[in-house]
Amino acid sequence: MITLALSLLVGRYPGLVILSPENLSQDILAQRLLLNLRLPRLLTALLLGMSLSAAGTVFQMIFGNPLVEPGFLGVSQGAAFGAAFSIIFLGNIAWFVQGTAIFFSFLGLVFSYSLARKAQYGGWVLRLVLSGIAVSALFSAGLGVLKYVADPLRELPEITFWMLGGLWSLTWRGFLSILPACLIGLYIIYRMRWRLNMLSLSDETAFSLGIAPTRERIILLISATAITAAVVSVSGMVGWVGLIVPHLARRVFGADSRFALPGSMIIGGWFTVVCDDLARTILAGEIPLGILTSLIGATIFIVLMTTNRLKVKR
Amino acid sequence: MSEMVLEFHSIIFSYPSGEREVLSDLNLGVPNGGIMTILGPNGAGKTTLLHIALGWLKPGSGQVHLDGRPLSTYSRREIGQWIGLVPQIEHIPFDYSVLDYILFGRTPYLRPLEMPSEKDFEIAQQALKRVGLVHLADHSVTNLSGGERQMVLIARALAQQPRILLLDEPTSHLDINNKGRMVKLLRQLSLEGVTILFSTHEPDVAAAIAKQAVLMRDGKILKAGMIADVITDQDLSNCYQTPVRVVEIEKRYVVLWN
Repeated sequence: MITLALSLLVGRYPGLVILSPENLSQDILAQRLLLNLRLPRLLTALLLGMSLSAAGTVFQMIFGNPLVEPGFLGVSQGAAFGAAFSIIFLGNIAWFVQGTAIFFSFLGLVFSYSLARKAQYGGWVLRLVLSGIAVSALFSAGLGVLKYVADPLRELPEITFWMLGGLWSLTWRGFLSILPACLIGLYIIYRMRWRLNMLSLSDETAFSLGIAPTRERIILLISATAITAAVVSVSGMVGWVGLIVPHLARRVFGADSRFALPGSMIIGGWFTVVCDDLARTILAGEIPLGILTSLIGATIFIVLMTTNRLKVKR
Repeated sequence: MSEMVLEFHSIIFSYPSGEREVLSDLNLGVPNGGIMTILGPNGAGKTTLLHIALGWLKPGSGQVHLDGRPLSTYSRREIGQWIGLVPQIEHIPFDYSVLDYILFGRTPYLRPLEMPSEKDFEIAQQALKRVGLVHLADHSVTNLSGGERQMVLIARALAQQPRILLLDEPTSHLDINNKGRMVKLLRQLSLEGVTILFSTHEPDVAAAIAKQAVLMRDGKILKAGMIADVITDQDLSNCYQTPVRVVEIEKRYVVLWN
């Protein structure tokens, strides 16, 4: 909470770094800035962090694989391809870029999923992972073609910037457009967090515990993909949050997703807000958020990996 | 309650990828409160049979009856409250604490979005006590020895308070001391009225625990009956297609092979 309040005051207006509360009460421009630019941006950063880390936790548990991140089923690459496609061919209009990004990320999921159903060998998880890799590769090849044909002065920088991730152009409209999908997805995931544990076990064990492994996995997969696609469509690619935060949360709160999932949402939200504060404060220009999350995330992770024990008692 | 708690009626099963029938026209009844072992060479269909008993695999034709009612009419939760499964190997990717893991056994008693309560927690603790590993409650499951891990798997199934316990090679990687503990535990559970069906590759273990035995080969039952009638030179040799001798020492069966 303190971080949130402080984040509103941090920025490069009017002077460097801190906007004092007295100043705020007199300066109308400062009030506008706060309400119309910083607040939606802050809330989106929070939502972005929570969604990516929750989705990351879900994906890692469902696939029983700690190296999986939320975009790997063709979702991230699909979104990137969609955004680039829109920037080049459909005119560079914000909400249009967002729409095509969502469209293509779901196309990625549907494609991966139906490919996995058709695949002739291996277990369900293996087929899905392989399909995800194949579909992602197709999309990134497509993205390569788009980059190649893009206008190097106008379009290419735009695509590259989108790929690095950031929240600089965010308004209330952007925030409100992703809010419903995120809230519904997060709610479903949050309520199913006990059963998520069982889905990390082998299918027959999950079944013997009264779970419907395939059906419940699909529900969680769709929820996790929906929130990932929604936030990625406004932020571009923000790496590492969905991969690293679930690990941190398990480290701190234990592996049981009753605690690890909310923990992951809290850490993810907080972490992304702090990174976004830094992104818009450190330099006069924006630092792309994706760069900061990777840099800081990886650093924290290395420190945590090498420290001995960090665990809260519950 | 019928005399046979679990019945297989002319079960035929093959996996979608293979043409071979894994089980062909199999009939078997598991008596209520009994301990039955399934013996047979690798690939005889033992694990498949256990998975069919659980309802996880659906037979291509034929029916399974649980307590006189077709298994297909039970809900997943009901099956979870009836039957516990102890798989041969359980890959646990995340380092749950032992108690967390055992608590998973309470899931069939929870409504879909419900969290385990204090009472579930106590039942999990009792299950842990039952297998004698209370001191490991806060340990991570990924750091357990093979024997401890096997006991924790059983404790998880016990937290389910099942009336039927299915075990797939419960002693396959245990030392002789742990084997002894496993034998004692399963016998005790049977005395409490739990029906036990387990597969094994060790005829001596089978004879030490079970009252009934089933010999399987190529998806068919060669012989089923009381343990003394089934664990014989001729039947075991026939089943494993290798000369086997059964000797009785101090009222226990020892199986000599090769």
